Amino acid sequence: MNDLLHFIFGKLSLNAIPHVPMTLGAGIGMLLALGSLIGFVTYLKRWKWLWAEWFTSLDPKKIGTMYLIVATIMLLRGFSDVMLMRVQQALSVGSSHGIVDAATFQQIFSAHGSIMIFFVAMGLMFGLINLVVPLQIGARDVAFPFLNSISFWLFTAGMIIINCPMVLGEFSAAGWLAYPPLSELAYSPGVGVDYWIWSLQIAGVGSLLSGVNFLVTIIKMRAPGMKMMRLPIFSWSVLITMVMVIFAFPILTATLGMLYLDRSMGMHFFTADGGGNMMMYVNLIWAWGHPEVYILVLPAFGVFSEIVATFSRKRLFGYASMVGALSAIAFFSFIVWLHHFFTMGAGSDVNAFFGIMTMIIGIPTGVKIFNWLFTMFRGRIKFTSPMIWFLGFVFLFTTGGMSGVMLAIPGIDYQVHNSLFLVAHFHTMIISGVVFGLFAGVTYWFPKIFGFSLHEGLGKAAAWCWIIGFIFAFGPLYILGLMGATRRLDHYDSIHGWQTLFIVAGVGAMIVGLGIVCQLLQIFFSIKNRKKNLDTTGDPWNGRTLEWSTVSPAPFYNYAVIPTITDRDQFWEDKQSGKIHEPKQYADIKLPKNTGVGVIVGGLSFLVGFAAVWHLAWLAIAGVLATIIILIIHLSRDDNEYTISAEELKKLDTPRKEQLA
Amino acid sequence: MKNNRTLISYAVGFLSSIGLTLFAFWVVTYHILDGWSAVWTILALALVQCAIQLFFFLHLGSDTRPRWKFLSMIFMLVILTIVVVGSLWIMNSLNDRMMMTPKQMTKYMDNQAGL
Amino acid sequence: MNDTAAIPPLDHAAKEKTLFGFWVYLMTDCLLFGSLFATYAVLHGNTFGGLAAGDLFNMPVALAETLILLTSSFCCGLAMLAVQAGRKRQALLWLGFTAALGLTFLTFEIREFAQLVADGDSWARSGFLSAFFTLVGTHGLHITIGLLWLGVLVWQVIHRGFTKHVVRRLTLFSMFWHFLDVIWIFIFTVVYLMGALRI
Repeated sequence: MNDLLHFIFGKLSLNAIPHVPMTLGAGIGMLLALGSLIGFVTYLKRWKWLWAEWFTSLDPKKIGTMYLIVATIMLLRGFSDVMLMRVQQALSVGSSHGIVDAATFQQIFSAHGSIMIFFVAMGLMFGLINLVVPLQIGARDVAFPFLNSISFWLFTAGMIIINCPMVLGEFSAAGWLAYPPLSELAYSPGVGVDYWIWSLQIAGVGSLLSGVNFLVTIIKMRAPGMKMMRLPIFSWSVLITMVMVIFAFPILTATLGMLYLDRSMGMHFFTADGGGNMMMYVNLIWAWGHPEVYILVLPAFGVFSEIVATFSRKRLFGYASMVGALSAIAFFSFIVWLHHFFTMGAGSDVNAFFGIMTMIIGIPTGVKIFNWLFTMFRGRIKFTSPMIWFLGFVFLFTTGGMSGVMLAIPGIDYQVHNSLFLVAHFHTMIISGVVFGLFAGVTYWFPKIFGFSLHEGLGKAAAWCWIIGFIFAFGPLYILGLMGATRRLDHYDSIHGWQTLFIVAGVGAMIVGLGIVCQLLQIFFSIKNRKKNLDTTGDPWNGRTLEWSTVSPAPFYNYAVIPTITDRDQFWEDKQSGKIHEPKQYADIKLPKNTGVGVIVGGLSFLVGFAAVWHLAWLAIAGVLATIIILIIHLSRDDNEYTISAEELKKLDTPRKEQLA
Repeated sequence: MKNNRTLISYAVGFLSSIGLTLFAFWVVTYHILDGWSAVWTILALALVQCAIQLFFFLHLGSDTRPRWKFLSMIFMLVILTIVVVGSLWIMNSLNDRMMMTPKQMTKYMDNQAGL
Repeated sequence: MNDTAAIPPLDHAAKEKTLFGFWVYLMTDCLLFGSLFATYAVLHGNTFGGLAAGDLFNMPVALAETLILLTSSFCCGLAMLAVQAGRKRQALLWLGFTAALGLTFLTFEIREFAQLVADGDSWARSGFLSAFFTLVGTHGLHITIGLLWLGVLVWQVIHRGFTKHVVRRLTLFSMFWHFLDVIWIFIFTVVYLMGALRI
């Protein structure tokens, strides 16, 4: 009987429900929020609409929107982790032990990092890419629309898995990268690390598939005449990023897989005994991890390039060198990874090589900064909220970058490795680079996708709160790091004199929180007042690139007739010369049919991941088999597209022609 | 079979692959070479066979215009080499310095201190 | 049954897009295997007191596996020639050989694994064996998926003939199958041959 129960339930038991008040409270809160959402949708009777119009859609604009929604929700989760950590570190001095115990604190910082990187940053990034790239290159859809849906639902499955520990089990306490031997079974016998592994593994496969998808899209589906050097700079940055994704993510897949094999099948890849080599894990995970952070930041650079050109009302300075810089950064990002473990003990020849490479990678980035500044020079600047995000970025990213060059020197790194100096450095890069860039991008392209603009005033307030909040939240951390404060501390002695700085950091975090509140209000009020902020021209910012030539919101088929390109910044050239593209002839077009298979595969992947965590072999096998069967059935179908006739297309296109007349 | 040209190319690819495989097997099993010279030899043979199969079976180099397949393969090889060779270089250095026995460690430290 | 039905005109751009996309996926798979190869290279000496590669592996069997998979890859090529020529029965014949040889390869490999496990040299024995089973096993998993795919495609050829979709899928499969043989060249070289050299 016991054996049967064990077979059915694996490691699950009533003990799995968390008993730490903080975690339990968070879990209940999450369930209540989820329940309210479900209740709300039921009350509005919108399930069928959600399924037919959104979940099963293969329109990248819909998929991109869903990515943004998931990423925003996860931003709130990641930020709650921030406040918990800041409060803890501000209070837990001397005899006080703050608001959470050490074990919980470790789960919080592990969750914070994992969620912010994999679900907020990657989510915002792929969301924006989905929304913008097909429109920018003059395509109707991505190369593999069904694969796009699969990618999104795998991402969502990973998101659900990483939120499960709040109600069932526990999360990993091994940091956002789960180094062995701590992450091995001997030192983390619970389910936490397994949750971490499977959440990232599933979401990672989604990212890899998106990498393939967008690479092929940009290479093979550009509008006729759009040669590579006529590609909008944002699309260039995405192309190069996708090249990095396809080469980096398989390393993550292999490494997470090997860690799981160690934990589940008693293998000895990275164990402390049995001939394992835990340093190999650190090596491999950073061989992925370093390209990953450049994967996150390059599209943000692309966003800034578009924004600076548009709001300086000037052509981007040094387009070719921008492309060159992006390529150089991408290449170098694959030969610097050891700088994350200078202190692990490699010889000075190895450390010196990677240190030098790391310093070199700052040069192309510098080229980009100068190019942006030169673009602004003698331009007619419009200080919209995207420009404020950009200005915050320029100041903060350059400073943070300099701390990076310091860290690139092994001798210095030995002093500050794993201190708060390091923490301050990478948060500077990610927040001022990736987050500001993606926020700016969402603001910039919002009217194109949704048909109305976001409230500018609240947008500016949000940007200022983030910038000022960031300075107060992380400035102290640079100082604390140099004073000797280590990262991931849940308690410290009062003799160090660190508390004041931690309190300042806490206030800074609250100011950032105010910024987030402004953003949420911005979304709320913008939607409420959308009729007043309608984008009637399709070109609210006086943009330069192709996507601004359509109506807002862009029609589901993007372009009734794919335009022919003769220039870089084609749309801008057309506006200057007064040319309006009149389609001479409409033709039938084919678009992919909606399908629920992506959702189902996502759901099955969640079940397989969940089963892998709780050792429910029967569920894992059933899930894998069901996934294989449903994929075989769907991929054997020959009728995945539907046609819009030329006459119908002409009718659909009338609003655009009227708007532009 | 209608298309004799391509049949011949498949056959050439197949037979040369067999030849290279047998040759590598012979080198190792009959101790024609030993140690690292054998290693470089069989690795070279593997790379040649790989190139042959890429050309004859996978038709690499047959697409005209921007040769995207070829280009993507070159990029992949560059990154693959960096990751594999880089990892081996790094792990070698780490293993030498971090996986010593206490006796080896004492000897190393004495050495470094000039004793 | 019309054995020599002409292939319908291809939707060139769409097919090219898909073939390129699949090629890119194969490039990512190279990195996956590359990570496993690197790990094997680092761990191959960590036998934890157990037997080393040279003592454990049966060279004639490894050679046989190599030649079988190579022949399977060749048969796949012949099958694709038959597809191009529109010869349905010939294509099915060569696809059949491809599958049979692939299945034989897999059987040899499973027996090799079973023997090792029975002797106590399982994946949990040492870092070396963990790396071995995972590297070779991942390749075997790809072969298994390939055979499943081939089965589905054979069914489609029989019931739908050489439609443009079926031809495209067969082309993708043949890319996959040839690619797996290329990977095996390196497994044979790095694991078995270098094992025998006792590097």
